[in-house]
Amino acid sequence: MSRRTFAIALTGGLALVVLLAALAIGWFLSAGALHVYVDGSEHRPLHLVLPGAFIQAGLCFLPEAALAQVDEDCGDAGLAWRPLVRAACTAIASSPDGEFVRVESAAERVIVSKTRRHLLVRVESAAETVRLEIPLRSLHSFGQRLAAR
Amino acid sequence: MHKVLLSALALVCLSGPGVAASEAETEHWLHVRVLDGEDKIAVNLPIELVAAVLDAAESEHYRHGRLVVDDHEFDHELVSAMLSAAVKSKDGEFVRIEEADGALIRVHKEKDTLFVDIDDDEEDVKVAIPIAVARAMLDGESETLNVKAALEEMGKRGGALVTIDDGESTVRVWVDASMEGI
Repeated sequence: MSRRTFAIALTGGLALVVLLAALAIGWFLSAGALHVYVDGSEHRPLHLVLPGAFIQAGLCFLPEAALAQVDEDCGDAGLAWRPLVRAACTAIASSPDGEFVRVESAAERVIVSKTRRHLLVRVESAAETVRLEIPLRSLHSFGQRLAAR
Repeated sequence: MHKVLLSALALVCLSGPGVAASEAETEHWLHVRVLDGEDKIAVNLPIELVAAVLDAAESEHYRHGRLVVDDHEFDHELVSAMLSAAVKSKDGEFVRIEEADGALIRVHKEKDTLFVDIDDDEEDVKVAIPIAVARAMLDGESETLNVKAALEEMGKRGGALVTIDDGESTVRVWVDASMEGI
């Protein structure tokens, strides 16, 4: 192999590796992240961030026995709700953005909304604030995981 | 090289459900507003989302988007015939019941919509049923009401469905093309 051929092969190989790495990083980033934020007067603020790619991978590798246990714990009610949850997860992911639910009382406020990549749940009261950002891809995967059962 | 990287990143980013979301076109939204003193509930859901969930629901009395009516007093053919007659009729008041306690129940037709108004001392209920929606609901098997078809028909036209006002609280259900609701 001439030095020129070797250099071309090495450059091509490196380009392929970089391209694959870019694809992997793109997929990882596009999966978004689950954010859980809890702040209250009685405890320190908690902010948990879990990459959506991890959630999707976790759903793929979730043992069948664990899901069967969930089914058993939920009983008939859980089985009846499963198709609804499955359909809702899939439909929400493809729905337009907007504020879906707002419940306001003197004591607290609950808002469920959707942005381009996340389903947002906010619960605000005098004592506590909880914010949840669920990546739509994870929600979609959750629906598909339910559908696969 | 950075152009290739950017293209690859864009390709991956565009392959997610986020694209489906941005491309999705919802013509109409189902809105529910409940005002009860200081409590306020606002629900705005795309018709497609509601239809998908309705389609998935299964129970003893509900399957494949259809409500199973066990009540033998519900005569599917009679209701269909009454609806056809209503379509051919001119606008006006079809039923008027004035009860001893002052309650007034009216069924009337205006253009392509049937209205049921119940007005008594405690509450004021107004239900508007577009005739096309009622027809869609009666479409299909007897002893069933096709809720999903009715919702989809409602999604095509929009308008008020239910208004309830009992003096202390109000409930409004309607369909329109805006996410926020009017």
